[in-house]
Amino acid sequence: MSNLLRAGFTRYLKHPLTALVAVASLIIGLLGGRNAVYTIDDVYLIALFIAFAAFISLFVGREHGEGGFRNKAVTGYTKGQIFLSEWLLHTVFCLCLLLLFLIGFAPLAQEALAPVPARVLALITLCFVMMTVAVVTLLCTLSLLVSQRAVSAILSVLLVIGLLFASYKIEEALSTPQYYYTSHYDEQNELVWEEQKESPLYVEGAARTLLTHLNYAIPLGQSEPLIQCIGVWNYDVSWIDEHSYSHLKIVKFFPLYSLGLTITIGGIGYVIFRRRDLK
Amino acid sequence: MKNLLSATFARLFKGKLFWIGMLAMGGFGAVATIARARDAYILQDMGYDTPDGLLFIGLTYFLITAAVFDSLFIGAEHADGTWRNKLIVGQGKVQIYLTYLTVTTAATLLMHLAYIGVVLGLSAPLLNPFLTPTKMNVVFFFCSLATVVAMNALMVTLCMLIQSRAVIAVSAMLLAIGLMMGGMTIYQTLSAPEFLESAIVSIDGMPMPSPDPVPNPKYLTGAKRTFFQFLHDFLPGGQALTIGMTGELPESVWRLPVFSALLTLLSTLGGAWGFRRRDLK
Repeated sequence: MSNLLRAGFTRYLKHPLTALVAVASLIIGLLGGRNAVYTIDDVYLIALFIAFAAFISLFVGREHGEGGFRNKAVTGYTKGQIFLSEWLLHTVFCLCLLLLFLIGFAPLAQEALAPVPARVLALITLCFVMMTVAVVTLLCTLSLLVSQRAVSAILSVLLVIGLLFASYKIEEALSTPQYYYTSHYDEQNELVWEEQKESPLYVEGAARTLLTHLNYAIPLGQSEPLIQCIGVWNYDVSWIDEHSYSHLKIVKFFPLYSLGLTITIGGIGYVIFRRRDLK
Repeated sequence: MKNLLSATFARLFKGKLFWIGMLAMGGFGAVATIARARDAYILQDMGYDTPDGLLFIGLTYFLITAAVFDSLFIGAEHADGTWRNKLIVGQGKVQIYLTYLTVTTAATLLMHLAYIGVVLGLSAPLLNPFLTPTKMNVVFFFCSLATVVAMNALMVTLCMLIQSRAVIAVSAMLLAIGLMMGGMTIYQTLSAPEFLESAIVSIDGMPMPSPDPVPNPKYLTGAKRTFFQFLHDFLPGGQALTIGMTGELPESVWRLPVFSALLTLLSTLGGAWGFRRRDLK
């Protein structure tokens, strides 16, 4: 498999698209750092993941289109080895792109990052690394399973947007308050009484547990708590109830959620790819 | 050009792509209306019982639909080399360009109408009538048609000028997302309040909430505001937000179709000029 990896690295490094995406990642990081007020805006993460989607789908699609996978299979490599080598290549490249993003982001966002303790920063960085691995696994699996290059490119970008909308919708459902208040006024427009009603949209019980875990398993669902983790050190803590941020303790388990998603999706992709006919 | 048009329309209606687009937009309209009806049933008397705001919300995502449809439909022509065949049989490059513009414009308009038709059709039995004045809905309807034409013209220009099908797909998606995000950023910038009500100011060296509203440094004024307003009205992303989300008729609503027509004209002229100079595979 080392030959596959070496050939892949050489091919990718020589292609101008790699340089283009690297520059794009650095620029996204610079913009994210320049506009960071208290914390990072997740729009820059989404932009970075869209760059990953374009990078992975175009490279894997090229292999499909030019029959590169079939040639590798003919020379004796198993489909499992081909899948693993493509996944490993893209993971390493995308982690390098994440590094470029952070190189652009960190110096300009120093004001927001300075109050955050080093161990928290290390944890957040680890979470972003694992989130990147999970996103790459999703995108790589999709691109390997869809052989039409244009279709896989569109589906990859739509997948990133879909993950974003899914996380927003789950977040919205989970943040619906349990109670809402209706106020009753008299003819002089003075408040007579206020009634507390249970919100029918409040999600509780098993559904709440399921949605919470699902939100943390979706890579972009993790971004909101991670962003808050940086932001909370920049607020005036004397005004804030300590318990308001107790839910952020879950962040230390995010790498495990990402690992779980990586193993599940990667495993499914591996099994399906091995059974597929290569063009 | 008549033959080109009839052949391309035939290809459009015979292919799956157009019907998938119709189904996607119709499905989106159905999901949005049914979700509103569900909210109206659960949250009674809370103002969710009318289809207001639903009718044009699909337009805010329409750039993605146009990007997917145009890139795959036109990209297939690049990949199959059919343009060269058309040139060989005597058709001009400008004619080919205008044919594809016409066909994709018709297709995207039909998809937009599918969304609106489904929302209207389902909201009639499920929800109460509109509270929004009919005049506003009618004006926005015609503005939305112009915006769809402009979005499509922009996508067609991009798709006709790039050779590789996959690169077309990625570029069109990036353009759609860029226009959507750009529109949203410009809208947020323009919506920044002139004064901040609860700004933090330093009183005797201590950060305290200001007793009086303070001027917002991010509020745009003068030429900068005029320029941003122009961009908001000119670009399809901003137009889609004005029509789909603001819920009120702007004073200068006439600017929207005028700018859409201008954008369509400019992108078509640029695209046709670029396509004429291109070597076709």
